[in-house]
Amino acid sequence: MRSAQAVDNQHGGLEVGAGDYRLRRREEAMGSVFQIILDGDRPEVELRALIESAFTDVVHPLEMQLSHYRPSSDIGWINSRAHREPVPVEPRLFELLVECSELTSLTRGAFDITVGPLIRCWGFYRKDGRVPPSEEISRALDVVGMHHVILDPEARTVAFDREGVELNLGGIGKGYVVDRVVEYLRHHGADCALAESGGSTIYALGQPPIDPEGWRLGIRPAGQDTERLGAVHLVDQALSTSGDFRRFFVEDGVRYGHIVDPRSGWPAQGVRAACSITSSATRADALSTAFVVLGPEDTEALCSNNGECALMMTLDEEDSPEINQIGCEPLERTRPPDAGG
Amino acid sequence: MMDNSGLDRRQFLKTAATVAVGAHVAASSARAQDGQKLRMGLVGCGGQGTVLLTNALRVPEIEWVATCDIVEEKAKGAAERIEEGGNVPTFTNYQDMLESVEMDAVAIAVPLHWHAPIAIAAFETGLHVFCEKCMAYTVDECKDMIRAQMSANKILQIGHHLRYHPLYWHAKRTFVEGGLLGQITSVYAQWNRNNSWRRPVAIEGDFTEWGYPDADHLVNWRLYQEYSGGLMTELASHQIDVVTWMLDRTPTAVQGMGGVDFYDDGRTVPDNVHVSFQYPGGVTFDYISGTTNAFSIFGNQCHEVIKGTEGTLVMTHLNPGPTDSMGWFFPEEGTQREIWMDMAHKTDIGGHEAILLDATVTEGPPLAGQPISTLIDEEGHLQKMTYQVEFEEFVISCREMKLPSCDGMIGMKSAADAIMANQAIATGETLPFPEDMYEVTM
Repeated sequence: MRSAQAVDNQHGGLEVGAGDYRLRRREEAMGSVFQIILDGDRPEVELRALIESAFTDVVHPLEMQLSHYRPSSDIGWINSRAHREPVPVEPRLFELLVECSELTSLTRGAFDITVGPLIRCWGFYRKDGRVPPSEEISRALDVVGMHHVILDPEARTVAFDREGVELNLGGIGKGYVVDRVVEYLRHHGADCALAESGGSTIYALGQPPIDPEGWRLGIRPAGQDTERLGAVHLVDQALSTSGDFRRFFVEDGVRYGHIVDPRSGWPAQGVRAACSITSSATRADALSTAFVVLGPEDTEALCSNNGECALMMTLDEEDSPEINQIGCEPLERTRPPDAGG
Repeated sequence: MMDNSGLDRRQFLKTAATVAVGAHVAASSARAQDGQKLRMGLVGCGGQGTVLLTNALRVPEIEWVATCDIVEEKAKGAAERIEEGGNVPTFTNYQDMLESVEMDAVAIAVPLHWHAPIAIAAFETGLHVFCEKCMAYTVDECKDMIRAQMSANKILQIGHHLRYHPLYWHAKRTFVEGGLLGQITSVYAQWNRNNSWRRPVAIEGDFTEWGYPDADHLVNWRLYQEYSGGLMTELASHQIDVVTWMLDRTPTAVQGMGGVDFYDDGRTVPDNVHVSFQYPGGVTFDYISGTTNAFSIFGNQCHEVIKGTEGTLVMTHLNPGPTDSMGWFFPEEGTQREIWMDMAHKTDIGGHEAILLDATVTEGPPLAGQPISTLIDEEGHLQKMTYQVEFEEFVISCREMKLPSCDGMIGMKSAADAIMANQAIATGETLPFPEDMYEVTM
């Protein structure tokens, strides 16, 4: 009998049990490591071709398309000219931008792909965080908000209503690429796979061979090398986690994380990390970011109204992690969260 | 020195071939002169065709008026990419497209063995041709394409996109022609990946009419000798072209090794090649391409190393991360090294101090109508993909009947070199290049 063995990614407080699957491949992409695990009763040569081409035909081309660092990417191209004229957009990217707009509405502005100027203003792009003067925040807020983005479905174009607006898919791109990989794998006959980006955004396709309950993902306190808080089982579901555990700075004793609230212009406070478990990795990626911004109360309202599910991690007065499960109880506890390591 | 006027290549044609060059610069069509959009059809809507289309859609002077692929859904997908819910006609047979659509040019991005037949048919229809590299399956086919182009008096551009890369222009103008490398004595290049190069097959259909007994042979055409020269034509030809460009000369002999040594999956092209070209003046060019190990000290699967008496130039493209391309210069001890190191933006590569190439200082004639220095920033970010720049130049070439930076004569050189290298691998012999290797007679 095969058993889950390895623990691979621990970046986002999330652990992927790799186990004894037939093929696993990792490649650098989107500033981190993208991993695909693939199983199935097919010849080795077919599985290998499929897992390799998922990278060459899906992951890497999409990275080129979505990067906001590259002026020549589709996003870079849009950002450099959409304030002057409507820019034609590739069909699937246009669909993604429409979904982004819908997610902004769903989260009441907590998730917003125009947040880039604020992230820059706070120094998070260059890893040189600092509290900016209030007038800088105000100037950045002037060009933040999806209401500045005009999506024309007839012409399939995007335009900005002013100079300085920019798109940054950092809060959703990983999930989108995971979904496109899963779509590609399905199209080529795969029914048992796991795709994950950066250890933070995952889609579990089908039933894994080693666990009838589903793909088991361990949850650890974000940014801490302690034991797992518990695990979730996923089948045809996505999970994404967001938090301020990797990119933050401390000034005057206050910790500022890199997830900036697009509405206030200030980094989100209170929630250390949040997970979304939902139907697509695109949605999970965006919602997990939004949950950090919204905080427990508003997240609960969102989940309750829309049938979503969240795991929120905060720290108590003694800096011990507290997990709040909202909308469902997916977490299979392996030990009390306050038991320490 | 090579420039966009194509003068050197016209001179080359005059001396190396007996072709009617004068006709080549004759007046173009009234439509092109009027500055109207260049109406283009795309033949081949797979991976590379999609890359070309995506980038060419950013060139406002081009209007895409038809798409063609023997897999109908791919042609329709490309048409949808051009226009939402589109009216762009699609075809599964390129001859039908050529006969029924009024247009000025075609872009060809199909399996290698179909390049020449489709290009020649397009010229016979009176169209300009942009053809993906490698130029053709055989050297004779390359020459047939050039003859057809000359007869039609149209433009032929080959898609060696590194000819449209600002970093490579910087290397050519500043370091090679500027003399900073000194006398070039050897070149090394690699394109190593850890990837079987095989793709999964998810299409069905009868493709025997086009030479494919089954869908696998169509999808994986790069793996079969009937359709492709494998690593040499699909990957190495890019880098051979760079070396030809930098050295401004062509090889005199080639030897090589390679085979199907790792992947027991029915492929008939080598999964590894190691070839050595010899050039006039004793310059050697060693080349490796493999599919089982992607390591490179330069952090990239793909690079060219040009060694001169004054220093070593390294160029990479297809880098992971936000910067597509990087280049470094390593001055030799006892040269101008100290002066260089005081002036330049330095970096550490494998424990060696190197000068980071900055193509924003590139001077000289423009590329596709724009200063090369504007095509890249100081951090190495391309402002436009090379594929876009090559289509921008294609428009200018068609409108002004001006030879493009990578015309058929240039494309033929790297194709011929790649084909000769495959023959050297197959025979195990050192093959001298015939004196008339690159000559075209009408």
